[in-house]
Amino acid sequence: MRILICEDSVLLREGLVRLLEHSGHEVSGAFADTAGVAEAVEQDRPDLCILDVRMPPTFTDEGIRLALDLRARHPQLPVLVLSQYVEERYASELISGQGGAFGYLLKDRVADVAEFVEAVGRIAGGATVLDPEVVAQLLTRRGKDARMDRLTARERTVLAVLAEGRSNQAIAAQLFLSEASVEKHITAIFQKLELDQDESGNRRVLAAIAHIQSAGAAAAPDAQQAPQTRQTGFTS
Amino acid sequence: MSSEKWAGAPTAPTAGYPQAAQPPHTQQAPQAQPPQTQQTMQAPQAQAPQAQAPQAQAPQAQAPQAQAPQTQQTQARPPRRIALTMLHLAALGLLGWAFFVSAFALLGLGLGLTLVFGIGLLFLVALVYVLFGTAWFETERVDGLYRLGIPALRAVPQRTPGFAGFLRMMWAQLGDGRMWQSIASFTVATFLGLFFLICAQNLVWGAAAAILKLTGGNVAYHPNTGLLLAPFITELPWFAFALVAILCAASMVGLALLHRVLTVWIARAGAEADQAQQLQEAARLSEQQRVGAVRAADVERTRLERDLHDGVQPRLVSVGMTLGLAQQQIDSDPEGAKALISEAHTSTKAAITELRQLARGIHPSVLEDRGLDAALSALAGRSHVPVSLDVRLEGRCSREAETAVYFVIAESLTNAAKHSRASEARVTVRLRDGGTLWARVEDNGVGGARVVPGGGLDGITNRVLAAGGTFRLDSPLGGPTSLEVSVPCAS
Repeated sequence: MRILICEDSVLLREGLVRLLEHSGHEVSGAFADTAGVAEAVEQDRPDLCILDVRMPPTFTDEGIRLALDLRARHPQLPVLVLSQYVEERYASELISGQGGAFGYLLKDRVADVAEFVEAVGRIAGGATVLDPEVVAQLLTRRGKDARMDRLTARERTVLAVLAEGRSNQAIAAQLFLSEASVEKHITAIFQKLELDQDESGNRRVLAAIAHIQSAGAAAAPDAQQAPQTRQTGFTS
Repeated sequence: MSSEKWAGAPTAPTAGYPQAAQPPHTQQAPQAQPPQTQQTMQAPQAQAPQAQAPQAQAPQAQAPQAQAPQTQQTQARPPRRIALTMLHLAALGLLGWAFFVSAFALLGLGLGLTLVFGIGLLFLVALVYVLFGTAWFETERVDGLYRLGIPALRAVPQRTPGFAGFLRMMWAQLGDGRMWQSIASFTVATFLGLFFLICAQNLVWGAAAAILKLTGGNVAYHPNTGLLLAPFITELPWFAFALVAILCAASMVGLALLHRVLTVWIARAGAEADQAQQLQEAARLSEQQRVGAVRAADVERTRLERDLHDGVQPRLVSVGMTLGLAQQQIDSDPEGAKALISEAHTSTKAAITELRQLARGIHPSVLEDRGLDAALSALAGRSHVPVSLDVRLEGRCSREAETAVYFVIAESLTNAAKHSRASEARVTVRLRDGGTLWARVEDNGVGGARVVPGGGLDGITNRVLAAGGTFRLDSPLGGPTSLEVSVPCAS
């Protein structure tokens, strides 16, 4: 597919181009800052945009603002936001903004080449992928919703992985469960959280995330460990 | 979450930062620097005609009057003000002695019992409170009577925690010049009050005697008569007594005017001395802040260097070595080289993670563009001790305040993870009225946290000092630990 990259660091930009071209994608444009990206998207119609967050001139949240803007203008355009640090607040803004699939991952994840390329594929295919670190942060925000307290520790773990945008199959593999029991857990979660049973795929993730966001919860012990020690799709 | 382990609603922290120094009363430009009055200020033009009036009435009062800035509240009209002053004098003449009696009683008890038991200390502390209370009352009384716009007397704040700090505060209060000036003013007013009462008595008796003599009443001397000329009451004519009454009435007015001159003079001198003291205090504080900022930066630099030197650097060196080995082996032992490369890959990722956390610790950019609340999410998410966040902030504070509080919370959580063996921590952040950013970090760990020079808590205290805030650590052995910090929101 055709991918547009916007990243101010030359090393990383070139690395990303090399990596994506190596895995059979085409890079339609590589930008060092946000200027001209919107026009390029209009003209080239890429299948996916990869944006850095901190870029010139202010090095704060340019990438997030650009992502929100692009998603508002092109609801069908998948956007992957890569960042040196992930922030729950940025994720919340992306979730509550307009548009469809998006990804929000740490730059560190690029080092796991195969998994990163796989994630790029899933986002382009309409899935929402959140970095486990963001999910952990979302889970620590406490809210006043008692419904989260109904979940068992196991169900919370499943919900956390679900929020990372994984399929039932992947959740089963990651948590060493059978697919049947994952489905059972998810049904229970959706019942307890009073969510619509028909949600599936990306919409299902968004529903779960939106819920975590609005409710907040004391994190499950698993989600509280340092993310790099957790069994996620991104650990080595 | 076991809620009974935690204290209830957060209590108001004891704010210890000084108010801004009062602008000095300058004779040259009273308009430019209106003194901060406790009452509401009126427009300066309103007083201009009023301010001239008393001078015609009372030439003695010219000196203070000339100094009085024209921006004060409207004073009571002179006759009413003199009447009020007379009331004050009468009241002080009657009741002012209670202060002297209690002060000397406490002093005697305190000194006497300190030699016998330590109980005397209690009396001495009570004495300091009585002294301060009286001085405060006097300041307010004079300010209220003459509308001088002088700032209220403030107690010396406690600078160091604990009982020793309390005693130090008491001692400093005893050495507070402005308090003693107010006490002097009170003493003067009390003696004037005594004379005033004597005059009042003579006025009443003199007038009564004159009227009785005029009407041919029967007057005779009685030893209890409180009249100056009482022994000669049968010989002297009526106008002698009328003269006594008139002289006494005049002295009463005179005493009221004298009271004004003396108390205003003392109050002004006190306020000026107080300003000088406040300026000194402000200078001392800003010096403390500067030292705090410099030290905080030093401590952080040292730690940063150590983190880089002990953590990331050796990791990268080992990655280089592993890759070098793999390069040598790649032809002779491709399988071994693969394993080495995989190892280097893992180490590299670990180094990346470490660098990321290090860099984020130095300066979380989200703090600037989304504020403290947003920045705390990642802190809580990364903490090894499960954290519950309770943040309620409307709007933003200054960058200094937010940064200081952010690092205090970060450091406290790091400490909790390293030393406390806590199973949960709680972070509460509020914006208090009065524009104070207040935060509390609690954990249910083993306690016993102390401030060690160069340690994490030392860094916290320096940061908070640099931001002009206060900080309180409560960590008994056996826990729980709670750390509270207050920083002025807009610095």
